[in-house]
Amino acid sequence: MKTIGTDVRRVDGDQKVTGVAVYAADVRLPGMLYAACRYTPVTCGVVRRLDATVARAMPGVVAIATCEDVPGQAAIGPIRADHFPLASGRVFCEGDVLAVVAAETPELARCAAAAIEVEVEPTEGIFDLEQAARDDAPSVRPDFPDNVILHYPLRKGDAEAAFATCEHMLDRTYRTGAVEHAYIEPESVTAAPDLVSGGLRVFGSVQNPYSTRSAVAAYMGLPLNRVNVEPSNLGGSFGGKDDTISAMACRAALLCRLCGRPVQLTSSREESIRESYKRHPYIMRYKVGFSADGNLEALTADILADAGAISSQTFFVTWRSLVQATGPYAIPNVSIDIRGVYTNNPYTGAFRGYGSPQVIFAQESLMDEVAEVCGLSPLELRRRNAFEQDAITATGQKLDSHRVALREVLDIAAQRSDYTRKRELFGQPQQGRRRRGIGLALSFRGCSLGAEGTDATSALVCVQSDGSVCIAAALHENGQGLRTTFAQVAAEALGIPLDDIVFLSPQTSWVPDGGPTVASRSTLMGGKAIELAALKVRQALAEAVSADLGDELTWEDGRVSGADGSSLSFAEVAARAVQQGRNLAAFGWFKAPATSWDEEAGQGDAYFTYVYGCQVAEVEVDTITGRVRVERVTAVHDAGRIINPLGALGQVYGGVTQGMGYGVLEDLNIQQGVIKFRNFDEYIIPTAADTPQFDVCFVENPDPAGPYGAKSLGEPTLELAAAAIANAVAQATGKRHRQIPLSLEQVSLGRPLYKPSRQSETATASFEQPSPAKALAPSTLPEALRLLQSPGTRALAGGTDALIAQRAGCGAEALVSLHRLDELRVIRMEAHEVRLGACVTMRDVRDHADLARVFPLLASACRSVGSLQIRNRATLGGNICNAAPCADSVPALLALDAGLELRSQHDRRNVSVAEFIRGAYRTVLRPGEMVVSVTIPRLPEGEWMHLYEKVGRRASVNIGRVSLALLVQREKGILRNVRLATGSLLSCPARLTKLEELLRGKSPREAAELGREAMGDLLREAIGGRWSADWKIPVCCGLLYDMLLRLEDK
Amino acid sequence: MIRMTVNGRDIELQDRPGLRLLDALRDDLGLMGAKEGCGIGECGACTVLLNGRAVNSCLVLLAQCEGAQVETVESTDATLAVLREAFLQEGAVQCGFCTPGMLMSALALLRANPAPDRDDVIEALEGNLCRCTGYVQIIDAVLAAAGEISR
Repeated sequence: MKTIGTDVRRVDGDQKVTGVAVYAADVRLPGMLYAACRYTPVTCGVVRRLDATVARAMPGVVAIATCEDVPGQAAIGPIRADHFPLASGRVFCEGDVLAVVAAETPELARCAAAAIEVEVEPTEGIFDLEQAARDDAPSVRPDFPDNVILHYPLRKGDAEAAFATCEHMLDRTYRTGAVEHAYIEPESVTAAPDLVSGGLRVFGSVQNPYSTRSAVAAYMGLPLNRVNVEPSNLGGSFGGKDDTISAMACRAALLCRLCGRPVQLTSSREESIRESYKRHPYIMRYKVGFSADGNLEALTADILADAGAISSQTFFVTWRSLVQATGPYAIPNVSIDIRGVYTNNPYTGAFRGYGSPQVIFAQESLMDEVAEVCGLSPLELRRRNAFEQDAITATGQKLDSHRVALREVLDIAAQRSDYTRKRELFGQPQQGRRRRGIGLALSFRGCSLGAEGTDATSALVCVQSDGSVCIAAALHENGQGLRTTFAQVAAEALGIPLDDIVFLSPQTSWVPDGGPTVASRSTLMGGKAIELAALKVRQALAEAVSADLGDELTWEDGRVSGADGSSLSFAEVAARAVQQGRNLAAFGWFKAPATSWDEEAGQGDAYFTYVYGCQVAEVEVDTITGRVRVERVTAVHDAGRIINPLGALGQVYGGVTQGMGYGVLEDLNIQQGVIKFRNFDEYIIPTAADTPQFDVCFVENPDPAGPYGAKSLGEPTLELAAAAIANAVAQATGKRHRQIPLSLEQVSLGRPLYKPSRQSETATASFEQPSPAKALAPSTLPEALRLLQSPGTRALAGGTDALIAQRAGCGAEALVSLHRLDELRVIRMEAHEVRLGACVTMRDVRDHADLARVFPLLASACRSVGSLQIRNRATLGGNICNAAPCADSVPALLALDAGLELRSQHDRRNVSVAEFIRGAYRTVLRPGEMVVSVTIPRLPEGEWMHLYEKVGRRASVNIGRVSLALLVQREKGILRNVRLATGSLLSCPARLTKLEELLRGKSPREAAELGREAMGDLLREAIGGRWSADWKIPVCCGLLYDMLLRLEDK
Repeated sequence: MIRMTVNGRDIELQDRPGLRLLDALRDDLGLMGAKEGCGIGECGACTVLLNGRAVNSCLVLLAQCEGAQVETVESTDATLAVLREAFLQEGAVQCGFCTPGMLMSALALLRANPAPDRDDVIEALEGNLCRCTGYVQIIDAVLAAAGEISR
């Protein structure tokens, strides 16, 4: 093969690296209006009043729509129509929208949306999954009174009877939370009048164009041929840009109809997180019976899936969980029950993995627990039970249609990761703060949709008279590389170079409905449709030249050759075929091989083929803070033939990294149905610094059904990492966590910790409306000071806090930007002190070699601020004036006894940093006054040690959870001087002077013992009642102990 | 009026209250390469160079750009061209939404440090979130570009 199996550059890459690729929010159409949503002010309730009179009269407002304006069906949904793009009398979750506004600018639309008067009478919500599933629970949805949306059983053998004879049994409950897709592009959609059809054109960040088309057509009461969805480049989706974008498209379409103009609706990140669906949280109770030598004999699972307030894909997500709930193990007796349940939480739907990451976390954790009981290595336990060729799955399916590569992937992963040796090594008693562990997870996964629905898709191949080729497909490029893979398949089939193929941007009206771009089915299904279409065209071409070249043709390198060695170029062949009036366009349609399903018993041939994967994770756990660092991941996948290794590697790296986020970091902190973490400052995903070392291996067993033997890869890469990491953490810490994410608190305390929110706080902020401030740019300090005299003004330094405040609508009326005042950016290294202008940036501090040498403590602290982009802007003065409890530079400045010079138009004074900060976000700064410089006295002669510890949730770009700045002068083995300051601990950064006194004159070891004790006493008194105390107090004590002890070795 | 240079071209723009550099680039100049992913300086999709340093253009007001040199992914800079090529060669692009910001952070790095090691690259990119690639091929691409330039 020429193209298949070789590294190929993306065919759509050039537009993406030059910045010209058009994404949804880049669409600009003549006369286009901008829309904004008015979200519900309460999570669930009855809409009593909605009055848009004031909003309608605002300048620039063109239309306001509510549910009453909908010409078609008010509710949409892929399976059950229970999703109201505009609420109809009731709201069920915080993402529900009451009204939508179209105006001349985005700002005007937002102002008008905020001005709509609404009254929603709150009703009692149900947020607890187990409570919602009870028979006597009140209905979440009066329109669909049974909270249990579905209940699927699976029965094989007799599990209960088998338990009675098993030597061992384990009964374990596992929990997983809701997580965000966190595509970097927030949703955007534009609806425009279609002058040709009289209907609508829809552009947008649409994952599944046909699903969006169906939703808009139903909502607008239009036939499908009058809604043409033309998807934009998609800025990430991972299953996420389906129902949400469809609902947004419905709103945009409605406004477009009302205004007769194009309308664009774009979510802010906060709106995106608020409204979009999540991965289903699961509660999974597993029971497993097994023999002493580790043979699995019976397994039952009772699984609850939180659907939130809208059913969305719950029907199918849970079905996949059902089929795969046992994992890839041959167990004679199995009984599974899974129920999808309405709650008033944010709704849940499709997310890469689609019901598998949850059950794999549970069942692969369980396997390690079983192994422990049996005294077997986790690897050996899996070897004893893993599917072999022709194994029978829990659904009764015989795995004989393809090569069952499970043992292959397991053995290769174990060997490449050096699993057995490391398992033994890390199993020895470990010393010190950081402990290591290794864990593995194994899976089988049904490819494509399986018996959940009709599984077929379409593609077009059209050869031009010069031999160049256009292709198009119903499945959509989500970023995963489908355009490239499909082009490779066409190039291979036609024997031409990849460059001769153009992948068109398909529109739903041009290509027949080929189903959704989901279930890792694109390469397998869509690729096959391309292959079939290409082979049809090839047949027509062959007929055109059979007189010259005979019937046995070879198609390679852009030439068509006969058996006798004579040949023609592909272009010549195409030209002849056109001259002969042959049709060189073909439509490919691939319908998946048959599957079968018996709903009552949960038995049948669920999927027509399967893929197999094994991932091994090596972790290091900080036993003081609970932070898990994933050091190394070995990923071995049989995805059939790999079409483009370069793209396939990218799938693995990306999928594992998402799985790592799921396992360790990601948490929306949903309380009473309200998402507390609404942007990427709090909802944290892995950064470049969190990337582990990878070893990726593909085991290529070509599948008989797929194009050139290819199968599926996208989802299997994600589903294993959390389970493998959890098993590794269990080894490292000796403690098993049956809940993810393995956050700092989960690992330290065995449970997550959240700031409790009072009922009153759960009524969500109704709107985020920026306050646009006038910005002044004085060129001299006196002028700046004069401008600051005006009430309502505020100094603007780097803007990394101030402009966020403006965006949240709590900023100043006017900003006095200090960027032209060069004197505020000077660093002066003087004999007795160092003077830094207030606008010296964090980057400047770090880059200043002398400064970093004299005050490494400050340099470390400044390095820990945000990202490089933030450090390039954020200033020392701004950080101090903001006075956040987590201000990173402040503990260091406190320890260094830094002072500040404050100036106002007529006054000047000096205060120490300690005096300056009075509390959280409170300072002694008077109106009209600003900080102009920071002075740090040089340390007295002597041996000074600078130690800085900041605990964050990930490897970089952290809001500190706790920080300690310790400055020690050591003399003859004792601590002559000690300065200690904390951040993110008390109400504001502070020196702990009592502790300092206590430690003075002690040896490091004495100080460590004393300091740990005293820190505990101090904190119990200061913050003992706080929600975070259970984690922060022991962590601070442990950190201080560790830091002081480190002085011994230095 | 705010005067600045954008990708070497002299530009004059009318300021408006609250106008961010990001909006000015996208809406007033039609340079759509910089993207808005979060609006609070966490994702880096809007990264451009301001006087040679990588900044989040969602956290810069146009008013702060008087006399500044701004560079975006649309620039014809030669180093940027090498980076683009390396990104494609190494498979560093998937959905591409973070790519303009990644490229600009990488460009700032290579200008300041033509021979970065892996940790330098990670530090330069830690403020650019990517959800598709797991970063590996992006980091590799920046190192490859550095190698290419030094050759």
